[in-house]
Amino acid sequence: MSVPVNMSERTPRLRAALTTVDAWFRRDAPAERLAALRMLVGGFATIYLTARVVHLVSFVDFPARNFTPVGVVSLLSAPLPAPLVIASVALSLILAPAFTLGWRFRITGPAFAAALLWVLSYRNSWGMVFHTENLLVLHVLVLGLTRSADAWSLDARRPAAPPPPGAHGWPVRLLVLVTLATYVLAGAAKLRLSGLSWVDSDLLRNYIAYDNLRKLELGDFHSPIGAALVAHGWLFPPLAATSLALELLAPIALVGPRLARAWALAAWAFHAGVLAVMAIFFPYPLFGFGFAPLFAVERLPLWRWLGLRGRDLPAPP
Amino acid sequence: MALDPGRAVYPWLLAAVMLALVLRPLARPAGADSFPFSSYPMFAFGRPSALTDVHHLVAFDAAGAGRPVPPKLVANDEVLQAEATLHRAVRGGRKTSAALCKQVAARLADDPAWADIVRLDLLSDRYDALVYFAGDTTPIRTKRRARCEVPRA
Repeated sequence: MSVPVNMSERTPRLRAALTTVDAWFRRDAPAERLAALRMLVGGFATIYLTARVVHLVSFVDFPARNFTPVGVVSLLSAPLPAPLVIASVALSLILAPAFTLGWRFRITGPAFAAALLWVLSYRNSWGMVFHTENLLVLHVLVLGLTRSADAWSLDARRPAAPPPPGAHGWPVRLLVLVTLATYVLAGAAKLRLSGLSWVDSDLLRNYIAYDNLRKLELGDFHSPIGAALVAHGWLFPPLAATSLALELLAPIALVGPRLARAWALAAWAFHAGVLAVMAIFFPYPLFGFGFAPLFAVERLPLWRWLGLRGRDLPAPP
Repeated sequence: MALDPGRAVYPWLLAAVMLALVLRPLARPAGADSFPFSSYPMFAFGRPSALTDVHHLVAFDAAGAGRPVPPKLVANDEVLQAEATLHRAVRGGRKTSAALCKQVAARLADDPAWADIVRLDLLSDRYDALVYFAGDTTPIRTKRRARCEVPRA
């Protein structure tokens, strides 16, 4: 059977396109970059879990009727007994430093990713889904399932077979893709739920006023800046348009390192703005960890200070 | 084994699975949410009107002066978790609202910072949020869902 002419013409083009995408995705990066990301993200997760331990076990006192499981916790039909909740939080706290330091990583990498996924999904299973930890969990999942402990780790001190070529570039690409996808999703949600009226009406202004009011009346911190700004309606359409554009145009960060840095800075400013006008704190991006995959983080002075040295590191992509 | 991080197929397999899971919310109804694979709808609803309903617990002293009960005494240190707990209690009706009121009153009774408090009201207040921040903080409408005394030994 002969192949149709247009098919036979398309096949080499398709193959060439796939080869280009494959080469882009699997472009190599130094093992130290992936290792630096493991230590940064793992270090953040370790501190975050430690700081939030009281909060994470507070759910043992919640009434079972409030249990609304999400994600992997949907496997449960009722809350876990208190000792199991405490044990799961304790396990994640034990695995977090092992992940960060790259100790027995083939086991502790995936195990910590699973434990963090479970513990934070459980905390989101009480009628309120938060959005401050999603990217952290996604990053830990990617890092835990890839060869991110081949350098700058306790495992790297033991002799091991050399990694296959290109083993450390694609996980960084995947971290970047996942990061950008979350912002595109947030922009898409605004268009799907509110359309362009999210930009050209009072939706954002009303939301900021509502958010600050409920915090005040619920006896929590609110943003005096946001409370003052809601009197000036003209401010909000440009703010809404800018944040929507920032989210939907996140993929421009893939074009090159300059655009990646510019986008990361703009996204950081967006989170700083959310903190300023709504007192909502997204620690992972605000401390810069959420954007770390977009940078040559193996060049941070921190690693020299810790006594870690890379091989002859190539220039950032 | 395909799941060996050293195998050539593994990068594309993991990338395909991760990206499919991350982007899956696009194929679900708008506003549907989960964790960690979220559609990030938190700010997307906006609010067509400045009218705002707030369910909250207000603590009153013997002279009748009220102050809001903070989130950590309602649920935990997260204000939105406290809001979800209050919302659920109100939605559950009088019995559930009264149960939450008594539960929080017992916590207040154990806390010396609230020694002057004699009773709690679970209130649903409606405000115009823009008017509120222009200076008029009086609710447009108030509905009391539950009232309970703070148990004192």
